[in-house]
Parts: sequence; C-alpha cells; structure tokens
Amino acid sequence: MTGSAAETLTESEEADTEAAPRSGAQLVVEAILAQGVDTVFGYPGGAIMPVYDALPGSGLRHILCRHEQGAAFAAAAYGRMTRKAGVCLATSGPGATNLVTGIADAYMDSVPMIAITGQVAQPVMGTDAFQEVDTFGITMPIVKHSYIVRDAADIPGVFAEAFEVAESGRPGPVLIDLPKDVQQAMAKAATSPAREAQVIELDDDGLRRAEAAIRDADKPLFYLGGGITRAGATGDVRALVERSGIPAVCTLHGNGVLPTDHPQLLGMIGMHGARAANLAVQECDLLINIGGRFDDRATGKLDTFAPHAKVIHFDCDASEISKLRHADVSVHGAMRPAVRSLNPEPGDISAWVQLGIARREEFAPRYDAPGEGVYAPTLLRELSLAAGDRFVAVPDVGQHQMWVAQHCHFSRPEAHLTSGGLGSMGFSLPTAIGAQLAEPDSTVVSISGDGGIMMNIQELATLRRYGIPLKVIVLNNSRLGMVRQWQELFFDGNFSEIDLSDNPDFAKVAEAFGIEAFTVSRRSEVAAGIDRLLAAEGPIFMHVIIDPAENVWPLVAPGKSNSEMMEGGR
Amino acid sequence: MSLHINPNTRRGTIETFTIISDDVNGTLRRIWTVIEQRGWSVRSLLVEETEGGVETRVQVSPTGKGRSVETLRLQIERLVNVRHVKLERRSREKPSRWKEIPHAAVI
Repeated sequence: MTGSAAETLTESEEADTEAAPRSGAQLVVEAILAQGVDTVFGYPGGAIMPVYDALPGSGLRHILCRHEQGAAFAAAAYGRMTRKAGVCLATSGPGATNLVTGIADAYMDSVPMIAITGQVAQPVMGTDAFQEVDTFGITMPIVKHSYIVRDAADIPGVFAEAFEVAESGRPGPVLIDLPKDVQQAMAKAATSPAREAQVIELDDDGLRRAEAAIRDADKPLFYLGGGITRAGATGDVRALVERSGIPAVCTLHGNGVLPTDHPQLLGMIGMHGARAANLAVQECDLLINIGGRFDDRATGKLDTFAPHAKVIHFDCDASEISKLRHADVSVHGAMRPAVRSLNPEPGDISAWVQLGIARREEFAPRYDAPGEGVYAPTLLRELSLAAGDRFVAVPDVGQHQMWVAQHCHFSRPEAHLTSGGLGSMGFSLPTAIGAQLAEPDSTVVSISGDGGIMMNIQELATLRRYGIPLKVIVLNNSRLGMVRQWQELFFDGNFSEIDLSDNPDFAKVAEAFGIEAFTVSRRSEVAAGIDRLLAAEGPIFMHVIIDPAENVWPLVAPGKSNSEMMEGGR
Repeated sequence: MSLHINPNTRRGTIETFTIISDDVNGTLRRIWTVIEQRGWSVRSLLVEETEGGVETRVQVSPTGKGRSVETLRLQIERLVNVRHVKLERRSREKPSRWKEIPHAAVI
C-alpha cells in the first residue's frame, strides 16, 4: 500500500512504545470494526487461525457458513443490499480457492466486498507449503484491487484503503492476503496518509449536449442499468424519468429502479426481455443509458442493437463508455449529481409514448396456463404481490431466474438480487442469508431450481444454526431446465446430461437440517403454500414440483437481434 | 513440443503505452493481467524507475475482434496504483523508436 511505514517491533522497542502493541490478528479485527462492520462471514482454517483467535469477545459477529463459497456470496449480499462492503474470511489454499466464485461474482456485478484470506508464513511462501496457493495471482483478474500484507504495522492502513477502494467509484471486491506470521507479529499500527478521494467534476458540457439530443429526438428512451443502484441514485433517476415523461426500459440489474408497475416502464430488455421493451429499443432514435454496460445478454447481436439510435451514456467508469456501443454523448462521473443536473425537455413525443403503452398491454404476460400443475410464473407473481414492498427475491441461475425477473413485482432494485454477470449456480441460498441478515425486517425469499440448490445446499445448516427467518423455494423440474431448453431449441433435441430425476426428496433433506418443509405439487395448493411460507416466523422450505417441459418465453436466440424474439408454449 | 505463434497476432496493430504508476509490488503484474484479459497481448515491455514511481512502456497487439485501444487505456488507467496512461503512438507498423523485446526475454 502507498506510503505506509514498516514498524514491526522488536521486544525492546515494544516496551518503549506508548500505544500498546497488538498482534496483527487483533489489528485486523480492530480495522474491520473501525469500518462500522458488525458481521463477517467465514470458515476457519490453519493459516487464518490467529484472526479467529482474536474474534471472541471482539464485538464482531461471525457467521459460520458451511463452505467458503457460501461465505463469499453472503458477504457480497451485504454489499448488494447496503452498498457497504461485506466481509468474508477464509484460510489459505482451498479456503481461498473456494472463495473465487463469490469474488468473481461480485466483480462482474460491481459489488463492494472485502475478501480476507490467510496465507502461509512469509518464510515458506513460494515453497509449495501445505495449503499454499498464489491467492493474489489467482484472484488478480477478478478483483478491483488486492494486497499481500507484509508487515503487521500496515494492517490498519491497508484495511482503510481497501474499504475505500471497494466502495468508491465503480464498486468491486478487494482481496487482502494475510501471511500467518503477519497475523502473529506484534506491532504498533503505522500511520499512513489517507488515500485521496477521487473527485470527478460534473461534466457540464456532456449534460448540455445530452439535453440538446433529447430536445431533438422523436423517440427517446431511457435504458436503466445496475449502476444506478450501485450509485444509490434510484430516487434521482425515478425523478428524472418522471419529469421527462420519456418511456424507459431496464436491464436485468435495472429491475426495480422503477417499480414494476410504473406507467413509463416498458419492461426488461434482452434475451428474455419483454417484447414491448425490446421493440422500443430497436425503434428508438435516442437511447439514454444510465448505468448500463451494454451486456451481450441485454443487447443481443450488437451490430443490430438499437440501429436507429444515437446514444447518451452516463457511467462512473470511463472505460465502459464506448466500450461496446459508441456513445454519441458521454457523461462520465458521479451519477447522482449528473442525473439531478439533467433537465430533459423533449418535444412532442406523445405518439411514441402511446405506442409503448399499447405494446406493453398487447404483449403482457398471460397467467391463464392450462392444466392442474404448478405454473411457476404465476406462483412467482403471486408470491411477490403477497409479500408486498418488503419482498426481496434472490433467484439462483437458470429458467426460474428469468421467470423471477419477468414476473415478480419489484418495488426497489434491492428487491431483486441476482447473479447477472457471472451467472453462478449456487448463488441464491447463501446470498439470501446475507440479505436477510442485512435487512432483518424484509421478507427475503431464496428461489432456486433443483440444480442450483444442490450447489450450496449445505447452507441450510447455517439457516438452522442462526435461526435466520428465510423463506426458501425450490422449483423442481427434475432437469437442468435452461440447458434442457437450449438443447431442445438449438441442439435438435439432443438432451445430454440434463436429467436430475434422481434428486433427493428436498423437503426431507430440509427437515433433516431441522427446517420446516413442505411440498406443493398441484396448482390448487399454491395459494395455501404461499400463505404458509409468508406466515412462518423461522426458516421454512417450500418444495414445488413443476412441469419439466416448461420453457422461458420470449427468447432471443444467441447471436440474433433483439427484434427476432421467439415465442412458444402457452 | 513446438510453440505456435498465432499469425494474426503477429500481424496485428501494435500500440504503445507509457504508464506511470506507484512503485508497488504487483502493479506490473496487474497491468499485464488487464492487457491479456481484455483481448490484447503484451508484445514487449520495459520498466524504469522514475522519481517516486515507475514508468512502464509496453507494446500490445489485439487478439480479440473490435477491441478499442482507448478502452484498454481507460481499463489500465482505472487500476488503483496507476497514475497516468499515455497512448504514445498508434501505428499499424512496428514502431521504430525502440526495439521490440521478444516476449520470452521479458518473462
């Protein structure tokens, strides 16, 4: 780290020091507490044992997850809910490598997180010591920044800087690798100069050019991305959209920036986006991207995306502007002041607005599916409406993830925690645990498929241990549903390795973990099941049998334009 | 075993950056990682200590399609210990100002 002095003390020096020297491990705990963190998630092991030795009585609550990946997802959930960095702890070697998926997930979705890993002692680093891996190197492409602490005296400064880096600008995960001897060394904290906060001046020129472009446009459209939530700009963007009268679409992570039933919202765009939203993007002549990154799942074939549109791009990360889609007008910088300063005065766009409204009604999803089996989109919609404004959906990855995005009602972006960039199966349960601990009064629902739940099912033990009042739903089609759908549509029905019909009885598994559980297999049981789920005071598990042949519609085939949406099924 | 050098890479555009960064262990590795991760390859690299920091001069060529060198410049510039990145020269010819160092020699 920059400018910190090495001040590890010899025994004689310790006696001369006014401030009592402490172990590196104690300095770690103090540094975490100094950031206002009250809860960390982790799993102990050899190289991180000094830190665990310093935890009892420190005032820092530790949640013992049952796998380091669970700890990483749970910590990141804190970041997703609060915009403050969540903290996870693991030992060296396998502990560190088990964190990797969670770190990568946080990186892809720009989530602030601090990952602390033990490392073998410095004298044996590089000797293939027991449980030694190059954690710094392994994680380098998936962190915003990383440190190997070489001197215990640097710990307070490193931690302060790490939190600042993780939470500022475009947020992201920061790794701190702590050799065991550094944790054990006695040291007085070194003073280090505070990192200068980066100040990005408001781009007045960009704003004025954006206003001119909006005045000139006949078919302007807002494109709302996940960066809005990360910047804490939801209220400002809502106000901007409403004072402009311009219709809006959202990305997967932009869900909830406008409430789902907002009159100006045409829906989510992209591969499984709403038809009204995708058509609006394809026809608009001005696309005002706020905090989106033109992800390929959102744009479809990039060459044909929004072919008639000029683009205005607001982003705090300059490297996102014109990375994939050229920005005719860019507004780089902090989002909240930029959005507040924009005065959109579009001309007469009433015909364009009416077209969007008409299409939204014409292409609205239908919930009158035939049959007696459980129709997952209907269940999810009814669940979200019944849970109300404190509802937080945490889907896993797959078909149900898209059904949640398409059919649930979101009152705010934090109501939808999803693994958008990395698409990590196993995400839901540990993330929901972190979210429930971050917002104890919210109705947090973990929603997984039968594939994803098996990837972190051990975290049911964490639920039980801490009595976390989480609601868990498993939508069981005995298949890897999204893979099955793609094999049906794009691989000539050659179903390869997607059959999970030998799943365990999930309700019994949950009960074995000591969690109340029940199974719903008929449509007539859904309403009572939702009532029971929402009424539970402790953790509860609802196992739902759904149709294995159900697909997610609409769908833009990979490599196709968003104007070429496939429809099918019901 | 023989090494095969992708002819497309060898023929690609060569871009030259001058990067000023803090003198911190790991920064060079981080710069290299970003270049390789973002669809470019490091062709040659020189590092010199300067007053209070490090100056790295690196030649890169694209390995992915449609990669913008300006985007790469910004992706390097946003690294924590990087102070400034200058796109020194844009050329489809091999720059003659300084000699290209074989990749293996740098490693």
